[in-house]
Amino acid sequence: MAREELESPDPRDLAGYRFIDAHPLRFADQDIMRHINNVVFATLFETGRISFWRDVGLFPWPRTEGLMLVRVAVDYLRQMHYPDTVRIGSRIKRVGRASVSLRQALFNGKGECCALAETVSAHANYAEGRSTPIPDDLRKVLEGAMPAI
Amino acid sequence: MNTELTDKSTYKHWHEDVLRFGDMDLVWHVDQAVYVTLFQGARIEFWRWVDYPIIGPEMGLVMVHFQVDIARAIEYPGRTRIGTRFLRLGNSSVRYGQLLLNEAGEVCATSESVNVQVENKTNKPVPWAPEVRARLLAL
Repeated sequence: MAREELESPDPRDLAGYRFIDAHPLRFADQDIMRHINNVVFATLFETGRISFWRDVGLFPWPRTEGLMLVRVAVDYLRQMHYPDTVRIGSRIKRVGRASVSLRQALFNGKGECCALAETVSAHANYAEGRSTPIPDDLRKVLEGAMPAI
Repeated sequence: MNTELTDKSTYKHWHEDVLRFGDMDLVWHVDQAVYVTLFQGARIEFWRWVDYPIIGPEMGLVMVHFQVDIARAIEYPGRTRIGTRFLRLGNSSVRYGQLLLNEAGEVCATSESVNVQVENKTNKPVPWAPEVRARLLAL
């Protein structure tokens, strides 16, 4: 976790996220270990991302071009158990030339950080299937949504 | 659709869920397979409310029948509410009726399903104990 420790605000701190999405866990999210399956963490991060983009005003994307996920990295810090309601924090980490990185964290009902995710979405032209530079108007929206540090 | 199941006033237990982006299919509707999961979640919470262990060390409930009637597509984002009640109590089985509403309170689907209480080792049906039966009937 050395890299995350250098990140400010601490990605494991709920207070470091302006945008939080809450979801009750489902019985079917459990696996034979009687904990929440690892794949469900990814599903929760996904729905948290979409809610974040909706809050920023970018989702649904235009039909022709928009963001497309190209990388997901998840660190599992703690098991989650049913029943509980989890909170997913999402914030923009970096806006690049043709991509944007998000930092996300998943918190259980007690507020303990159970997982961290880092995702990269490319700005893509859907018809041509290739990435394109982020246009200025979108860049302005993305940078405006970045947390003040 | 069974109109007996669409009367909201017949349900004492309601369970709310929040839809996830991944619940949607490619036409922006909640996929039909997700209905099964939503109804299941409501039944589990129903039993927690009843306070009866349905996954015990010796015996538990298994699903033997499930049917869904879909009246209206569920749209993302949103919340769902599911009402659950007993329709019939057998010797060792129970038939549920369920009603799924969208955030606006519109009827989206109804479901009927049957669980049988079985011994875990043998999968043989186990009748409800008389005191459990009385408690369940009182609901």
